[in-house]
Amino acid sequence: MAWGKVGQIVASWVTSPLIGGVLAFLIFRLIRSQVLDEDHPIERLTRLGPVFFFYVFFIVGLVTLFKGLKNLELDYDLPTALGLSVALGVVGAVVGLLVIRRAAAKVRGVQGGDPFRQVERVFVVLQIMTACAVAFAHGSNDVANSIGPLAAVYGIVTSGAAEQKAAVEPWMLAVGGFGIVVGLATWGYRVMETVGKKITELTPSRGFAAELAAATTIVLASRLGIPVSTTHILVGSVLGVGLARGIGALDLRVVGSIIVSWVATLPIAAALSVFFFYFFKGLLGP
Amino acid sequence: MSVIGNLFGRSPIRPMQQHMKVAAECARGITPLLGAMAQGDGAALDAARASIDDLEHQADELKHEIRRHLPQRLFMAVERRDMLEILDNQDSIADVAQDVAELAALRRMQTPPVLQAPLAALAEAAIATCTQSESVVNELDELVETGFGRHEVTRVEEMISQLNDLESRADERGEEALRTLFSIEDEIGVGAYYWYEIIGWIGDIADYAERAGNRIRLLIAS
Repeated sequence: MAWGKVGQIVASWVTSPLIGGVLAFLIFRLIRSQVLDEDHPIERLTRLGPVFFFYVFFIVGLVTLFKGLKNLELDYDLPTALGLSVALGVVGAVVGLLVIRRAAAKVRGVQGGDPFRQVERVFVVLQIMTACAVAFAHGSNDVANSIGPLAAVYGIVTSGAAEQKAAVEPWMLAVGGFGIVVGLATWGYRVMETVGKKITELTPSRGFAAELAAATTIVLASRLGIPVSTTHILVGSVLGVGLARGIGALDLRVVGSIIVSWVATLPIAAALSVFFFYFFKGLLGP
Repeated sequence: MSVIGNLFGRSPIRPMQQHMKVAAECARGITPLLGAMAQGDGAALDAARASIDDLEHQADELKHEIRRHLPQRLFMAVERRDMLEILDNQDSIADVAQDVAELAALRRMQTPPVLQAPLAALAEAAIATCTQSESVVNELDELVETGFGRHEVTRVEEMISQLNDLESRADERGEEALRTLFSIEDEIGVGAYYWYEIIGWIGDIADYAERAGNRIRLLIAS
């Protein structure tokens, strides 16, 4: 039992939402001073938005290309990975610019609108982009929870011994991905609808700030090989936006229940695992 | 993921605005009340008082509802204490209006002719102050929506500045009314005391309205 690793993981449960919160706070403050407070918010956003697109595409590219695709036999050295990521970032920025311009034009076409309200409609574009980034980050981190043990078990079954590092075959990744898509298509839709209705206070600019912060944090954690809870990080990010006075009212009971889960989850899951281990061991003989 | 759904609490801002609307309506009820007092119309006086009573009761109910739903665990863009203080000042508007109506109705007070115009002017100024305060409170949700953005903050500060001016005007009118009252105090005898109260209370309406608005200036600044 690598207790040091366990300690590291538990510590990351606590620090990752904090990091998400700090980042979200800073990002929201940034867009408030650079876009929302300015005289021509839509124009400012048209100039600032592509920068965010570049950032997200660059980070996603870098994290994926540099040591991220080793198991698919694609290993780039740092300079190459950086170059490709920058290129990807530029592509993203161009795409972002086009999409934002289109949204801005559509919004300006509406007569007699208040630009400070309308800029939120343009933020929708950015929020969609960051929502995808969070989904990507989520996949990079959470799927490991189900596929990791699968890889370990497969490794044991094929080689007859428990190895330190189980190789993750491409087909396992496909299984994980397929599972997520099926889940999304069936129950996911209902959950999205329910959550979406409850969070109408999270306007696009706030949602963007929270999701950008969350995606960055999750991707960072995945890159460091640390499993984190994307939900907890998102909560931390939303709280960060709330601290910057971006949201009317937040129920801190949720934070309380998260802290309780940190304390309880690991021991309970461990106890259950121990129980099931001995149960199956007894059942299936020596 | 329902965790995210439960993260958003019920903001008290809309209920606060609803409460202010009722309190301001209550204050506006002073106009028909004074009209009835000028005419010496007993039935109209009772009707006006009943209307004010009703609105004051509504305001109280709303106030209790709001206080009930401001638990410690709610983290808001606006401080809890600030909200509660604004709420108290708003509620005082309705309370004082009720005091005026009650006294006037119980004593069957009929306005001396020379006092009618100053009193009406005072009431108009007090109600204008209330209306302006209502507008300021109605900006609270905009303030949060813009994340206390520079533009909205400047706009609200402008409105509060106007509110201060309106309250000063109400003060002046109150002084006018008192001056008139003191000039006839010997004629009306002990009734002078009760008119003194009425004038003071109507002035207080403007006072509380200004305090509610000023509190909002403080919470913007923080």
